[in-house]
Amino acid sequence: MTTPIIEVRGLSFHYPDGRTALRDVSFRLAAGESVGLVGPNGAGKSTLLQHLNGILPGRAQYEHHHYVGDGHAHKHSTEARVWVDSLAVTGPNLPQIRRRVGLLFQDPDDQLFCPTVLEDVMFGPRNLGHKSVAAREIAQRSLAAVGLAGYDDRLPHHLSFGERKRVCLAGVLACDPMVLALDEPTSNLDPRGRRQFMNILRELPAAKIIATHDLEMVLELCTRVLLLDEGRLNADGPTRDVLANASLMAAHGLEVPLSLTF
Amino acid sequence: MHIQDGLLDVRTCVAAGVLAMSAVGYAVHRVRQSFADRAAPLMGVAAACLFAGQMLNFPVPGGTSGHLLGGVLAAVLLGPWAGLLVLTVVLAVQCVLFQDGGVTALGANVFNVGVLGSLVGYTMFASLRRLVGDPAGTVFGSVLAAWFSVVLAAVACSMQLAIGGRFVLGPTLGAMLLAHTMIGVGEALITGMAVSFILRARPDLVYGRNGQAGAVSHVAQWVVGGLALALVAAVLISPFASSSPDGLEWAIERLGVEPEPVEPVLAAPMPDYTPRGLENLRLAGSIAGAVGTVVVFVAASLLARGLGTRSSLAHASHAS
Amino acid sequence: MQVDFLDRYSRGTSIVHRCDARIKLLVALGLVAIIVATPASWWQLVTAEFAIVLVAYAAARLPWSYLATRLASTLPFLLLLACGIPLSHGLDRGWDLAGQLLARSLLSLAVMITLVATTPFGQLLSALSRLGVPQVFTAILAFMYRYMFVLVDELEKMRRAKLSRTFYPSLWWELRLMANFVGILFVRAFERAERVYAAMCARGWTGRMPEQDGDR
Repeated sequence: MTTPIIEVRGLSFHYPDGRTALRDVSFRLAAGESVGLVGPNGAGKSTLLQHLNGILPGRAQYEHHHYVGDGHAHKHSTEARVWVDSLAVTGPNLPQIRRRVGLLFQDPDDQLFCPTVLEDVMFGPRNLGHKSVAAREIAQRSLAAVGLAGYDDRLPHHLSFGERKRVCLAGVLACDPMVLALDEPTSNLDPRGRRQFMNILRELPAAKIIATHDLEMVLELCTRVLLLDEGRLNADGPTRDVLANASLMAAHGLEVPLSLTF
Repeated sequence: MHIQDGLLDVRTCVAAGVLAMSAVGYAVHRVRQSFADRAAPLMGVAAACLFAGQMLNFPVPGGTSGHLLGGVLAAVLLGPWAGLLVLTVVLAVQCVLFQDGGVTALGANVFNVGVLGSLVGYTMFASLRRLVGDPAGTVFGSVLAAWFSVVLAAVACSMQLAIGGRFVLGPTLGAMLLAHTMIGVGEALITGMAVSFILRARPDLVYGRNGQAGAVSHVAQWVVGGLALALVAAVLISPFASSSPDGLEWAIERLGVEPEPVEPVLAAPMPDYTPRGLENLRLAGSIAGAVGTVVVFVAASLLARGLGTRSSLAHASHAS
Repeated sequence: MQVDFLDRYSRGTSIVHRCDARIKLLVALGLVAIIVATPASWWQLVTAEFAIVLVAYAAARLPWSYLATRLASTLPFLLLLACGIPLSHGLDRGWDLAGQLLARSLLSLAVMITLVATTPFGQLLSALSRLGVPQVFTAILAFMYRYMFVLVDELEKMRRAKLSRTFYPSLWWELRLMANFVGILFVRAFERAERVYAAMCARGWTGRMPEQDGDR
């Protein structure tokens, strides 16, 4: 692999209450590659994604929350464990990192925080330094790319769930990231919404890492699969090889996708 | 208790407005310092929360219903200055978007609910918390502070209405006290139980728990304590003083803030039987205040003992 | 939350709608201040105020039924307050003051209703910040506006769930439940605020919006 666009080496993480979230996770992502991140609930998928743009390990105050566990406050090391485009994901690099990694969260209401759709999609470009006129153009192009042209003045709480998800995607695309980290992008979408979303994703040139339970989507869109369970990476290989391995899947609370059983 | 436009005269509006604006201006400065870039989402969501919470109604004996104000709750979770800012935002939105409260009276409303509720309420809470000790102190302090802040706001509102020229202080105060001591009990209980829930679920959300930024200066505590006592004395004791005018009215007369003389245009529809009724109202208000204080004190202790202990038990089992 | 009344008419095209939000805001505030300050004896000014308010509302081409319903919803409370004046004076004085109070309140309310019904919230906010209100304040307002509907809906869901399982309501029970709702609401709200903050940082938020160059 030429210089990977994402490199994770030996990443471990504990929640504030002492539970271990990630144990010594290592993998690489090449430019333009699409990787599926699968695993049971609570495996640490969202946690892993949030390490890719530096949201975690997060603020020091979290260390002193009340905890169960071995009684020690866990101080996370400040050593870099994640590199994006050869940049270490640590404090001073974070603004640069966030230009490169676009993170789409699970709940659109957590991400759609501006009064109107257009303002929200413009949020990213504005923070990146674009002037209003340029930001507006970028935002409108992104909205068109997700099939929501003309939704500029709509209010977020008047949109359907699927529309809100697409606005969030537009907001992330407007930042023109090299890597897209998506957390359960198709959950709660109806079949048409899901198909629309997948079509949009398929056309995007950015590298993608998609945390999801939707294994059929992984089969369609991803060339590689990472299997995470209890914070440990149990498998890292071509999609079919991992997803068709019935014993592996069963051992980690997953099922072989229907289309592979024929 | 949201004062509408037209209830207060210009002078009162301006005075209250200036007071409120200075307090809020300072609050903005302090919030920028303590919360930096987290201020906007955190305070905004908290304001939305208070707004939603204020839609909860509980019945109050006497036929009216009260609703949660949340001043002390906001202060307990976010600190006094952030609490003030959040309350101001809620009041402003209610005033402008929902026409609940007048725009010219915004200063007075912010003062009553925000300054008295958040700042004074927090000081009281913090002192009590230090006195009694965590976690019982947190619950105890929040219950008492919540009740007190509602009653204080009612007193301040009555005074504003009286100084503003249209209302006579005595009976207004009596009526407001009567209603708000009871509403205050509801607020106190809800605040206390909510705080105890939050203590169990996310104790890190309570402001100043690890002694970080929670210390209130001694001066502030003494000032607030003194004010509180003076107010309590004036309100509760004065009606029992015989024929001399009500202590506050006396003060108002002496200060020269005479209300405008009222020119009767309409003939009196009812003869003179009402002064007696009004006297009783004042007395009733004061009695309600006294009874309320005792009731809330008892309730606070019970809640703190019951729920505070449960919370500390939970902590003990977690840590083992 | 049934608040589409907030935005039902705000995207009209009347002259009032198209007016700059800053002007509308300042004029509205000024008008309310004048209404409150005008002594009742200056009846010419009072009449002029009535006329201005009615003309402005008509120019905004909003339905009169809307004004009527909005004012009617505040009427019970206003009447109660208004009666408080003569009551506190012993019922022999103060009726004229009560009448003045009603008139002033209703008129001011009409002004504010006109302002809000013709200005989308986003424009109000940008007007505020261009008039010098600190950015922190307008940012907080924006977030509040965005999430108040979400939270009220959450509360409503909790209430409905509670109703489905409550058979013998009592005051103490109601208070306890209400306290639990409030507690849960706050905890969830704070956790959501954390996630929103994370989402903002993910798109480059540093605490200050870059300079707006005169858009809107």
